[in-house]
Amino acid sequence: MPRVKRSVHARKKRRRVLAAASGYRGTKNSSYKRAKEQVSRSLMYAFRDRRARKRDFRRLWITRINAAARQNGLSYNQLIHGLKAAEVNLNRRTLADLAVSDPEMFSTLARQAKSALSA
Amino acid sequence: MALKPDKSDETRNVKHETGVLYAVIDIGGKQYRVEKGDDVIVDRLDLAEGKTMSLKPVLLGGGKSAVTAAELKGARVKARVEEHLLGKKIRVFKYKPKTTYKRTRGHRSRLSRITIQSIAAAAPKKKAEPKAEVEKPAKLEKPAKA
Repeated sequence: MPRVKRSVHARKKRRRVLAAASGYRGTKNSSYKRAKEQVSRSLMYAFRDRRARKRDFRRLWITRINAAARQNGLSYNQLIHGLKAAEVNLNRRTLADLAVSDPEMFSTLARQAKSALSA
Repeated sequence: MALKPDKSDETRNVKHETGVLYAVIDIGGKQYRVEKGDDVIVDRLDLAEGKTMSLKPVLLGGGKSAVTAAELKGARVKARVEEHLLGKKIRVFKYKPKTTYKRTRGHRSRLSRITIQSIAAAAPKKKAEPKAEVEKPAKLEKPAKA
């Protein structure tokens, strides 16, 4: 077996970690040991938060829909129930978008929901 | 308006022109608001590049609106699959402390880019000729057919 010299690869490894840690606070951007800990933690947060993002956005949309629904005289709960009864198959993302980009359409939807509720 | 492939959630509040016919379509369990000529990036479709497809919209708006299933009957959105592409590279890293468990994996979402070719509204029940009014409202902006 030929002898392997570590220097090049060890440096490369550390450089990669430190590059990923650039912009971190304190010793975390310069000390390899601290940087390494933080980088692996950051990647774990990234993994976790890619999942959390989906929940976060759903909550945000619901908040927005609720606000828009109340402007149209319905609560969020009633609106969603009414839309289901009216066989409107829009998801919360689209509803929240419409509430901002096309308030008239949202009012139309609210009217549909109302009439479906009273029917 | 082109939606970015990643973080499509955040790019929802794009400025839309009012009065332009638009449709909301459901592809792969996600809903997209589209106008004629739009490019949309969706999850990989099981269709060859260059193929067209016809979709039932979940909503029509801009000018005339169609909301319920009954109002939407007969409405169609035609789209062409322009290309299959890969999303941004993501580094998936899993680590459990104190158990020497560590995994690194790369990931790129399989995506497709589609162009909306036409949006056809449903004909009102009484009128006999649905074709006449079908494509008029969408004429405002012609898509550059790639």
